[in-house]
Amino acid sequence: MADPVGLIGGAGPLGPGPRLTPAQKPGDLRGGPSFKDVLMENLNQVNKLSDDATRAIEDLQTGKRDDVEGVILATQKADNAFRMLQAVRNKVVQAYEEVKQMR
Amino acid sequence: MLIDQVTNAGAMPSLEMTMRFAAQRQNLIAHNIANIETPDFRPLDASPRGFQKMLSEAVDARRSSTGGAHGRLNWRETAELKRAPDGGLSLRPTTSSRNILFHDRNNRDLERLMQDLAENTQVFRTASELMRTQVNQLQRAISERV
Amino acid sequence: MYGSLDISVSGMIAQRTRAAVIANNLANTDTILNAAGEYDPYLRREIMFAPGDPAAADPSQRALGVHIQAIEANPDALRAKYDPTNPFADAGGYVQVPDIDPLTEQVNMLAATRAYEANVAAAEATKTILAQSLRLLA
Repeated sequence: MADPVGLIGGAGPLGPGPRLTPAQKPGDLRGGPSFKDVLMENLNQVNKLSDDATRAIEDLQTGKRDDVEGVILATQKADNAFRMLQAVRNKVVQAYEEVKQMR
Repeated sequence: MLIDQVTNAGAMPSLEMTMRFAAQRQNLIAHNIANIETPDFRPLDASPRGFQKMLSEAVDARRSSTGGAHGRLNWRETAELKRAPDGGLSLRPTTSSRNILFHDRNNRDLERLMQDLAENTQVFRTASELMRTQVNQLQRAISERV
Repeated sequence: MYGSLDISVSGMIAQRTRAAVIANNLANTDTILNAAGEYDPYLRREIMFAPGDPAAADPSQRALGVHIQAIEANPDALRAKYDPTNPFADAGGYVQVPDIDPLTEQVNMLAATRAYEANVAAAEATKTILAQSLRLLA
């Protein structure tokens, strides 16, 4: 797991977006997903994982499932996903603050 | 896609499978130990070799499709290894038929059972500790300033 | 979570009960009167195990573990002992006494002890796995 968040070389989703070739004009790349769409999709995923973890914990308490390890793994996934989203949010807010300062 | 990479990063999917297999197999081993003096008893077991073979195929498939650093593990169900409602592993044990039969038609070897018990516990602990290191590494990567 | 040790504990209970049955047999190797003082030689008790645990808390777990199916008196566990002076001797001078061999009973006792210890080890291993799972949250 050398590069879980794809920071090196822009390999992952945090890398630079599609580049313009010399023949293209600005605006030609509008066909791809917008930042907002990407963000909403990831938010939904985090919500789903969080719901899964909540349900898993509740099922453990009520006796509907008895595998402690499965519940802990689900909790862990939700936790990691949430941390990731939180880190992205912090970066976005930080970038916004910087831009705001450029008066 | 971003979150997917985080939840299925590195060796975490395969470690999760191993943890769930070992934890469920522990119950089978305990059951066999509880019945070592029961006549006509046939031990229940789920084959670790079978599990490792299935896992190996899934890991190879993941490695060839995404390079192995991330991606969901697509594993195939077998006679013993079924999919649970939450997508994880659920064991359906079959009756083991190895070992000689004793006069009361119970084919048990206490030594093998205790070996299975110790090894299975160790497998779980190993997978769990490795999972911990993977999670810590992931969390450090997330929280560090880019 | 409740019931995770049911399997091993059922094994422990089964073996401990078996040990009690064996101890009872050993204590009664010479018993030929019953509680009312009548001639009723003690019959060796034998314990029958069967897989599964009907007493398990969770119905889905009842197929695992072990339980005591029966504790039966063996009606053939009597032997004739020549003792003409005994008030209960028959016409030929023989008395029916319990046919209990201390060596057999002690070997069985050893097996029960060994099985009990194996179940204790299994319970400890289950506890280790549960504790180990929790370390992931630390």
